[in-house]
Amino acid sequence: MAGSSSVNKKILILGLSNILWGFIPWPASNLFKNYSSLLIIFTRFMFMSFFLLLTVGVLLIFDRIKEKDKIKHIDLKKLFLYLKSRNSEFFKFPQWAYLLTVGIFGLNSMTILFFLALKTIGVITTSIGVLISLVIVTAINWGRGKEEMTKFKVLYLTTLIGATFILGYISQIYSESESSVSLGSIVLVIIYGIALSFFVITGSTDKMSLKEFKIIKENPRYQLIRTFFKLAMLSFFSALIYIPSLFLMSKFDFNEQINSEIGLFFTQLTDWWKIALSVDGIILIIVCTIIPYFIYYLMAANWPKHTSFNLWVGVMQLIEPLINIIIGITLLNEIFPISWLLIVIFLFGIAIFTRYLSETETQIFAIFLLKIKPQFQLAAMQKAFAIKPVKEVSHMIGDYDVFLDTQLHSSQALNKFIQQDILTLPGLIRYDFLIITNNILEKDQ
Amino acid sequence: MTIKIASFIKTEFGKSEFFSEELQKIPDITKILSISGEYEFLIEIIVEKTEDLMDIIEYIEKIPGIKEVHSHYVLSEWEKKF
Repeated sequence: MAGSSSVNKKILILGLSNILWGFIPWPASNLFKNYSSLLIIFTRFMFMSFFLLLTVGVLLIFDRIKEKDKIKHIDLKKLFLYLKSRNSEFFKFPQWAYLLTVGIFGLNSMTILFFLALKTIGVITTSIGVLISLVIVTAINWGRGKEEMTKFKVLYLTTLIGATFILGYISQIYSESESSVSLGSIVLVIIYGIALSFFVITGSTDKMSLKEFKIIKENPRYQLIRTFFKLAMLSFFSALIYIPSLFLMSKFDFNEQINSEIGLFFTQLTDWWKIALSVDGIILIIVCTIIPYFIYYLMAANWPKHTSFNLWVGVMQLIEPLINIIIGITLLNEIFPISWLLIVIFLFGIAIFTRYLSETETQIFAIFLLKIKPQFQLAAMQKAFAIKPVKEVSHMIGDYDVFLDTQLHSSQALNKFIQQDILTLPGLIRYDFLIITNNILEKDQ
Repeated sequence: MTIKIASFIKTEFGKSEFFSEELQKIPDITKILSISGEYEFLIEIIVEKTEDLMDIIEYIEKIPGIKEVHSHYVLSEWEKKF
């Protein structure tokens, strides 16, 4: 394979982002000693949106310098048009309403539940939520026909479920706190897993409009700027609803812990900047949140086309709960017997290996050549670009009009892709496909 | 202005390693894929001038064992990043 050392380096850098995400419980637990967990989340969202909007601003300036043609410039007007456009994959909501929904029910609820679980039941038990989410997301994608259930996938899920039970059972047995051995803690972790799954699934349910498709043709930088803008808006909307919703919640009587958290939030609200400027705050916001997001998206933008990014994201995401557990034991003094820890690490090793095998055993890279009626070519290319297995669309002159670079998981998926996606493209006259057997050379451009 | 070309190459059987090495020697070829089907290789060429393109195609056609080079001019492309 071409440039394997460069790919290996990128895989390692991608892994680094998961390691940094895995460190979140450490600064968060230190901050819990002095501040309301709700205020910590609020500050994290505020700073995330601020830094991400700053990044968008820098990228817009960079684009102005690089792009000589004024018409092709990406400006704020184009980004606001994106917010107003409709997301046809998410109930045709305007993008701002889609981001608000995902922000409140996905990012926000997932983060609140994660921090609440960290504070009340500890890091090790909370890490189960990530495992639950991995199982839920795989099951839902399988149900939607987006993932194949191969023998390695079944083994992967079985290993994850096994690790979940061991972690849950052993961490509860050895827990120092009496209150943590309760049905409530299990329910909390399960709800956290569901909220995380909702965020993972809905976060990527986002189809570009025809206008955006035309903008990318003129200026490919739009994709990176749009991604950072989307993330900034998600954080901004999440922070925005905090004060009004907590104010509303403070009028009702919940359990003692929630009431005291809300009370503490309003008492400490004027001190939010102290969180951001503390060492733990900087580690939490910059090192464990902003830097990993930057690494992740920069790697996604520069990943070699014929080496699956999703494969390595899937494999690397198992590092995060593993780091959580190690942090819990080493830095936060949680008790977990070494013999059981070795078993859990062994199970994680199997899960990583089987995930890798399940993704690679049936991977197919294929090229599709399409002959399309002239008046339908733009519509066909836009539709093709929105299909998940399609990585690249090219408009050509020659025997064929459109070239599609695709990545599929199995021969069944290839057949389904042809029947459901290729044959339904508007104006299709004929098609041909070729399987890529080896990627000999792929230079960075 | 850059010109991008996607070329399908038909070669003699049993010499794929020799052809891939020969193709890798050409600096303007940015991508080489070994493929199944009617052709053996798909290559991507990026040049600044049409004359450069003609030189490259001529060079490829002269490699012993190359049977056919079928080229398509790329007008525009969209690469999905996220």
